[in-house]
Amino acid sequence: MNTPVEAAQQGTVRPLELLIVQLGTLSEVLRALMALKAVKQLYPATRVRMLVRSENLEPVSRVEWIEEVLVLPRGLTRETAMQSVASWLGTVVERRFDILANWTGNGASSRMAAIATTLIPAIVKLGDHLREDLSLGSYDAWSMYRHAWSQGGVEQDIHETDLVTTQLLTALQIHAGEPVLDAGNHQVTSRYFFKTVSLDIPGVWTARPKGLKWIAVSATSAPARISEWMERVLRRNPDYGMVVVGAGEIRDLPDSPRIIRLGADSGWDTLLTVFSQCSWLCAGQDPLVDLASLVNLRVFFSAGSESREFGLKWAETGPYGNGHVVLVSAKEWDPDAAYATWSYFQSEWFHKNSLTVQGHFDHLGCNRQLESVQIYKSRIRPSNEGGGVCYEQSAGAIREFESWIYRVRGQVARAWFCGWLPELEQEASRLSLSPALIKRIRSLQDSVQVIGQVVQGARGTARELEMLASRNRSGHLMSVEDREAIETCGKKLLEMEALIGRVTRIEPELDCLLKWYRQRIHNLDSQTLSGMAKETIQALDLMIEGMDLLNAWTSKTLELARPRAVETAGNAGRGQGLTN
Amino acid sequence: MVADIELLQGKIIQDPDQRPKNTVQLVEELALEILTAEELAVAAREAV
Repeated sequence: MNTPVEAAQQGTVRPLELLIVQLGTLSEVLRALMALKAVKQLYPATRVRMLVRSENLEPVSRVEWIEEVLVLPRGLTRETAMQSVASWLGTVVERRFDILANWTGNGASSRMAAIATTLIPAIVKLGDHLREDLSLGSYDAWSMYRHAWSQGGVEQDIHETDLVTTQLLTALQIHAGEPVLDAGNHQVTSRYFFKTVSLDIPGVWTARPKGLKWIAVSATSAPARISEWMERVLRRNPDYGMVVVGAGEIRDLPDSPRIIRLGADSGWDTLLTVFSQCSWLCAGQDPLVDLASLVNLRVFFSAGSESREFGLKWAETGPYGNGHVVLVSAKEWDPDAAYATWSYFQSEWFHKNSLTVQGHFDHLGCNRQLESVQIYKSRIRPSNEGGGVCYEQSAGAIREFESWIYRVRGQVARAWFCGWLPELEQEASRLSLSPALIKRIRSLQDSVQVIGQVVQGARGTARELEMLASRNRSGHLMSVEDREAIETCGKKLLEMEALIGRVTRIEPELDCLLKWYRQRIHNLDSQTLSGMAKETIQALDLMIEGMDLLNAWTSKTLELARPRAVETAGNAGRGQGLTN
Repeated sequence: MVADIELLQGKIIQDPDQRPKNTVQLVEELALEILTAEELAVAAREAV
């Protein structure tokens, strides 16, 4: 089998055959489609196939540029399972894939997906697989990062969709060359992401009152007091109607002709039609949010109930695209705060930012509620700012340090794997610096410096280990002195790892670096001791790079906080006058 | 780019047609995983 690059060199260009394994939830499948949209746009000749669970077959089979949707064999019995799986594999193998990427997350199907990834042949593989000892391993850096940070409880500002998009685009760039930047792939950019199969839409929707703007409300994930918010919206906005979608019940639903309830079993055609005619979707964590993102429906997203008050993990799977609004509640979701938030953003075109969110909350008499929420608006960053979706805080409670470290971690990952570095001066100048933030950053800087020294020491030891090991070609026979020296190096590395662990117990915000190191060590790929020592050096080099970037951020932030002399009309030339 | 290119390119399989050494065990594992997932789905449906 020729690689596409070899085929191109031989003048026999053929399209890239790509298989995405996504055996996770419907949300994950929809996010995979969002990522593939970007990939297909940049590499239009790629032929994309997806392997999904049978219950997720329908939405994927409605995407015209997905070549084929594969599903795992169904209706197995204990007696025939092996045979059925073997013959299913036989048919899959015939496709001869160039690149296979396993995007299945950490859920119940992760092992199943890893086995399938190991068994299905491809020239290049990305994602998780099963090693010979049947433990889970990762083939590439982004997958390890996903385990260490994204799924490892570390808050970082790279959305799941951007993570897998970047992983695949990087691999494509390495193996298939530069992307087609002006492809203008009509299929992908089409307004109609999914094709509709049937026009048999429920009468309750087709007969809806005309001339209204519609808000879809998810009965599955909307907060408990959503009916109070609905009542406020309907009372104050006679030009709006609401359509309740999804399984579940909304308690105390207001009695209004402007509320429509679709059946819980509404099919894809109904959902797609309704979404195409709505202005908003109001929901919590729900596959409907991912569907709305795909079809460009604006989302009013409710996040909350994380392990930490105002935690930011929701941002990894939040609504994707421009202009979505996120309301994060510290405690109970408040319908007044929700109404004030939604009404501010729904009238943006009228007030054109002449009104602040705080001012709007004041007008509605609920400024006190602003202290127990955070309000964000999503935006797609331009590539010179790192690209991908980001959520900018518009109002609400400020968590300066958490926001700062969250952003810095994302920048560390971008520097590691994309080679992209932010304009530190520009980024830092946007920070609002309070004495509490400065104090916190100073204490962080002390820990960064301690860990930095330990990691440098560990690198020296790993280098020594590599030199000792490469002296021994057989990998088995060695002198007693060499063996003792190798053992000493190994012990030293373990001690240094334990020492870093002790520092991160004092400064948990730096635990992310240790998590990354451990994930990388778990995935050492080499068969020889010297090869493993070399990979350890690479892992430590990334840690050093991360520490350097952290140091640069802490130093720049502290530098901005330092009092500076300013020239005023009265003291020009005399260097007097201090200000923050 | 700081990360080694090998870390970003994914695993290059020199001979994709060659089966993994433990293919039979892997097929067995996959069959078991699919069976378990199906049984769990049935149990969940019955519980509703």
